Amino acid sequence: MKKNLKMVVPALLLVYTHAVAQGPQPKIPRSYYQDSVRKVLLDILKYTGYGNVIDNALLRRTKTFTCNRDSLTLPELIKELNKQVQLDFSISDADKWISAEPKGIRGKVVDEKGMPAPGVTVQVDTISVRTDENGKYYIPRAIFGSVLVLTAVSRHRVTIKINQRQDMPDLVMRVKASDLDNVNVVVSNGYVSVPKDRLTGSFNFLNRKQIDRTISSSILPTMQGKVPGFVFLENRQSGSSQPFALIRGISTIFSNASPLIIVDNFPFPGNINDLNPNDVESITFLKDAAAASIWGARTANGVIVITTKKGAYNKQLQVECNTSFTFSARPDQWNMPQLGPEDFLEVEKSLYDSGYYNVALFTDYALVSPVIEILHQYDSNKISMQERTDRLKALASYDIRNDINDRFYRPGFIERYHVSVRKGSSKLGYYGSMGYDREKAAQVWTSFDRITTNNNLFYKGRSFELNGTLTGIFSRSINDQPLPQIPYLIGRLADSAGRPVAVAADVRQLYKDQMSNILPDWDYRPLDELHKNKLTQKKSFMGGSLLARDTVFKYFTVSLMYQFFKITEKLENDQSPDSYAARDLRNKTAEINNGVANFTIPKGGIYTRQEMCRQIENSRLQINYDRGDSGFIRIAALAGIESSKTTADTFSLQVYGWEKDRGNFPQLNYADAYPFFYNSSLTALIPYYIDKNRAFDYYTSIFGNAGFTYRDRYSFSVSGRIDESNLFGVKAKQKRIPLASAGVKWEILKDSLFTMNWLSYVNLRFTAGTNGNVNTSVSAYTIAERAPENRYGVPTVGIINPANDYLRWEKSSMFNIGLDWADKGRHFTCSFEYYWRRSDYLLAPSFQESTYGNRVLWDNVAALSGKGFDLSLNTFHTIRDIKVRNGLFFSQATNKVTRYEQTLIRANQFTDQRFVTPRVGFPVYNLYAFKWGGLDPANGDPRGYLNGELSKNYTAIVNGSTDNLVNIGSTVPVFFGGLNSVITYKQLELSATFTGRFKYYFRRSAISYADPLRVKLMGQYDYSKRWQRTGDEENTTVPSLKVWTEENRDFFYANSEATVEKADQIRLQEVKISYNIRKWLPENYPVRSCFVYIYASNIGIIWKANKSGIDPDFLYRFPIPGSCTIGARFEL
Amino acid sequence: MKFVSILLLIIAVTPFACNKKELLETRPNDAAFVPTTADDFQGMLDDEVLFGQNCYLTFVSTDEIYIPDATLGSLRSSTRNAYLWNQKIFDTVEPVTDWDQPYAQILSANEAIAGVAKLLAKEDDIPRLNALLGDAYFKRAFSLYNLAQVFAPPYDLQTAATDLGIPLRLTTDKKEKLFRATVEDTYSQIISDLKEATQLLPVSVDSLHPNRSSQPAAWALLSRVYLSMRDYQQAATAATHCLNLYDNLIDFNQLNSNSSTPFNFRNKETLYQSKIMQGNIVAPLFLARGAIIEPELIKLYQPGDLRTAIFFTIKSNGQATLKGSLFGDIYPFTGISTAEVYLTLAECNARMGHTEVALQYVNNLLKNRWKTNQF
Repeated sequence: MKKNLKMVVPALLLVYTHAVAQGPQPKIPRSYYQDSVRKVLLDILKYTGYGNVIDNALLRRTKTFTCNRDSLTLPELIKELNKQVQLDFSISDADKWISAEPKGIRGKVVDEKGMPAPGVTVQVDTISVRTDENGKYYIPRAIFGSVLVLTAVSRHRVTIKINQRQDMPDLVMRVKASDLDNVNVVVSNGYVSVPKDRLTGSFNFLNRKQIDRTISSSILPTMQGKVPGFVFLENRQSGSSQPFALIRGISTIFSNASPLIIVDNFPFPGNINDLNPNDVESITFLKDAAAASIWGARTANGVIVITTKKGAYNKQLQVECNTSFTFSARPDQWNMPQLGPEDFLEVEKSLYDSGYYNVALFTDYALVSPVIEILHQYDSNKISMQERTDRLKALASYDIRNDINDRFYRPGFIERYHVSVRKGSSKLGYYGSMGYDREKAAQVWTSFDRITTNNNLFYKGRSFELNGTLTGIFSRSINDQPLPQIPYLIGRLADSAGRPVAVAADVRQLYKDQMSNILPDWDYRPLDELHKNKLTQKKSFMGGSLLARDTVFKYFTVSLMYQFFKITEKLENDQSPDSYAARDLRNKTAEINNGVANFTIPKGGIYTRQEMCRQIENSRLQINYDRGDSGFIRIAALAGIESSKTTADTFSLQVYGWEKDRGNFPQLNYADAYPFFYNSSLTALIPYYIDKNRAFDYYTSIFGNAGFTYRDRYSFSVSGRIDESNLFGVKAKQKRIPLASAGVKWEILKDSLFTMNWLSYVNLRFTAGTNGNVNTSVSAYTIAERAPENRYGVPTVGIINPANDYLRWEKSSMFNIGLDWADKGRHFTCSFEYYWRRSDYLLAPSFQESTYGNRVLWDNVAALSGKGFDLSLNTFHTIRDIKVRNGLFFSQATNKVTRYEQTLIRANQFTDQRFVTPRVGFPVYNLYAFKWGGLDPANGDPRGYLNGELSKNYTAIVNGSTDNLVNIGSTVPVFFGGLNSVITYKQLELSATFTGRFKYYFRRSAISYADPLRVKLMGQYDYSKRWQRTGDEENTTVPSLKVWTEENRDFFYANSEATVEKADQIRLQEVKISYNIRKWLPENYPVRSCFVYIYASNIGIIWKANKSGIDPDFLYRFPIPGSCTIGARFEL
Repeated sequence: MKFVSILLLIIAVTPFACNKKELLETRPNDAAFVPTTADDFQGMLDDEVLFGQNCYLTFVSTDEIYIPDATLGSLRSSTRNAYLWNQKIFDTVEPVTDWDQPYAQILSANEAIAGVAKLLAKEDDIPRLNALLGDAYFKRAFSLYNLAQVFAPPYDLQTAATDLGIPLRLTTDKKEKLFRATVEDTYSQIISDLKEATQLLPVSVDSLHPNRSSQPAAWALLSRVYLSMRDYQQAATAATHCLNLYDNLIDFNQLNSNSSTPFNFRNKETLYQSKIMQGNIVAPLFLARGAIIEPELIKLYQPGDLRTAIFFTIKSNGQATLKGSLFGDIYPFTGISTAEVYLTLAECNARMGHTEVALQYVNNLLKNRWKTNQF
């Protein structure tokens, strides 16, 4: 346009050119006040002869020009114009010509916190650029008056008219509130960070804000109820092989089913509970094969990637302090179903009357309860009926739980302090933190301390980057008084004067009393054990990592990572010579001749020590390729190799008679067992062992991953990994199993085929791939162990597991299909995913045909299939100043054993839930029960079914075939979900988390008449509900009291349908109220924000399906008491 | 910076390249370990609980013992069936110990054979490794032989090539395809293992460790195998080889016949220690002394024969029970002794018509069994 004009008017211009006299710089004798630029240009032409053909369209958009000084020379005037007008004027003296171009503009886009916002699309007219990693952009030609549009995923669109000023102010792009929890979701899989919208797999993300809503000393509780498909399994029986948490159900049978936890690039080698949640920046959950398969052989259970806080670029010094105090109630001693004193008295009486204790009483030394003692004294005419009644009454009035509650428990208290510093320039960044936690546990004389520190320093040059981290976690837990071990709940721990009282242990109290003139103190007084049993556990976790990264060629970045950790754990139990354990051992092994005790074991304490030291070395070399956006296509890929080496040394020692001062211990006869003087068929060894072991794991892996995006709407991804380990081997084919995955994503709305104005996006994703699972307890090699010497005095070696050249990783394939959508205003963001899983080559004991020589071989023989869905719905609504956010998650996860040759055949081998007994067609963790036939109306005997007929032949039922079992269902939740609600009103935030788990079962513990001294164990509460007379069978399932009972009567009842309960429940997990009190503080205080909060957790069950009043989460232990936390977090 | 990167690359690759192979082969655990050294395999073969107990059904079904009905009722079904010579021996679901135990022995022997063979390729203590390898072959042959006695028909020259014997497991590969070998193949395997053993084993008997075999033991076992095949010529040859190397006998006059266990487990007559399966399955017979020695058999011992008092306890009712054996405890001996070799030679010679020679061997034995002045 301009050029055309130039051609059209040259003749006219020539006239003026010649009209102007040559000489000193001509001046323009005029001043201007809000005059148009056109007028200025005309004056220039008039007084200097310098012409122009500047487009009117350009000139029209310019503002007016003001200049008070007159008589400016041309260059001076042009300079002034350039200052004020959004055009770039230049003078060409040769042509006597003035030309003008629109000025380029530069600027910066930041988020509401002032942090640079990279990757934002900046558009002016037809020009479109993206902000760089510092949020900066430059648009070469931007016409004043044009509209600048900023767009970015999950941020509010910003439009601004370009004014005259050369540099734009920093433009603030606010995050779309509905996405606040998913903002800037740059998902890290531990290898690379990728914006979430480019991913095909199944990911979930928790940011700092979401983590902050849970106050805890460890990171795991912060994830509860906040992630679809993720469920915590609180209710783990001790010794059971159930995992602590599941991502999308179960993918293995006997191997570790817990998710793999990555902290900053590498699997976390320590106990994840030791990590201070205050140091965590974000958590990513990798749920399907496409997401996790880059982690290869250990990821069939999903991966949790934790990213800790790092230094930041261009950040002013920021100090953050967080302090909180948690108060928790005493554990409720009465919450576990146990037999109370009065019921206990009754049971003991009937047992006594039936002669149950005759044998025990005959031996003098066999342990009996004080109830029996009183009854026996009356029967031996030592006390009167009156005395008997009085003493029993007195006894029944003592509930030992009162004493335990008073003397062994207290309200718990936890203090937590955390300070962090973050600062950065454009080249250097630093983050450092220090945390201190101290817990005064609910059990008296028990405490826990932890110091954590996390330091990160980085340097970033033009292309080179160096990043170092130092981490330290040091913790110590002390217990100076063990909990009392008492077989029943009747009695006292201290007399009315507060003096410790002896309680029954090992040997009948009366017998101990009789021996008291021969033997030294033999009483067990739980309150006297204080300071005599010191249990100390010390842990230290130290390490660091170094990362160097350099852009070697145009799009290639090479990075090298190295990580080293050393973890030591020391457990020490010092039982003094005065502790009951030491006294008891010495007393019972004494030899008694003519009323004189001769001790075979000298006086001494028992000292136990266990040490564990692990050293972990990880290194990785990785090459990333990222071409960025080049028109329609974006390709990002990475490949690398890594190795991991773990050496674990354990050392354990137990010695008797350790002299602490001198450090030595006596040489005693540790080999021979000493008989007990009161019963020579019982013997004890002097505690002594020294055990040393070293375990070694080594892995090397090759991995690769590539993502490809076409026109921002079609994304493809592939990922693969090959692992090699010293655990597997021999046959090269089995040694290296590639695990790979692929995925597709289609952003439907971006395709012009579909226009749905009410939706902001609809994405369809599909992935398929394989993961692995490792079981470090099996080996491809022949595994032998040292066996005792043979009779010729030669040490022997026994084969534990014969070589299995075919052993390989467990393999798990998953197909995932997902649909994500959100409405225009992003008030509802939804995601639905459905998956199928097939796990094969699962390790399980495989019964070999006997010519193999070893009946049981751990082999890849089982298979499992599963499927489920994850539904998540996030809502965001604003009502005036109130913002309401909800996250609702609901998931299903099922599994079914599809292949396993189960050789167990007896019914009772399937009822013990401590053991996993897979059966084809049933879930891995499944509950089976004996079919229940009600109570016998005649005598209250439990009845079952044998061959389809009512039967009381318990032994035949219990030892019979599995046909006697009824399938109840899964013991892990099939459906589960969570609800997170956050309500914000100005500076006030209220958040709550609910969790729900459905369609699973548990077995409540049941009364056991045959073993009355086990009454301390749970389940005895139903004693009062027992069948007592005909007709009771209508209302109860608790069998009648029968002392001399058939062997399996109790067992049958305990494992019958009658004791099965539904575990379904909805729970209020946590509530937090926080308030920013910054505005209450004086303006000039150097505090940016100051949040005070109050937080409650373990609040309790809102709804549960079982009517027995049992909390299904706490079947085997006292429920964690509710706790309340107050705290403050401020930023300087 | 390019230089730095390249340097980094070199540093990075070094640890991957260096000792990777070595690390990948490091044993994962100490307490449970991968047996690789000669000591490990020695320990494996020295497991006498495994190798020292062998088939018992053969013993139960002989006519040497008599089991009263009361005791018979308390026995395991298969033991009872074997005693009664019932058509079906294993009529209930129960472990077949006589089958399982030898195959467990074969597994360990195979592990040792494979392991020692690897060591032989690189180590220099050849005599020791040869002894280990020989012992493993010997033990495998012994297990196969015991299996054949219980589960295969007797060797018959006419039908051996078609009669079905036992599965021969000769490697540790669990996927090895197994089938019932013919009786011919079964015995040839036993013989070839033993011949291999005679090449490798030490000449002298290890009197301190009678659970380890030797050349004489291998020849003696070979003679037992040939005898069972009714190849008297070969049996005699093998037995002669044995006695040429080792012909010690215990003079029963030196033993204390009043002792409840007259034999020490280290004695000069034992070439290889083994007894019948111990434990609950046979407890009623030996621990509870429920197996009565056939009175006809006892009657064969004449006055002056020390064996009556040394082998048997005579109860007050006149019934004789087994006192113990060369194994050193109450269970019958199933190992190999020189006495057996003397008797094999005697039998073979007798069958081949060399009566004089046969008598000579019998008398050599009896000299050590009778009271000195009465024989």
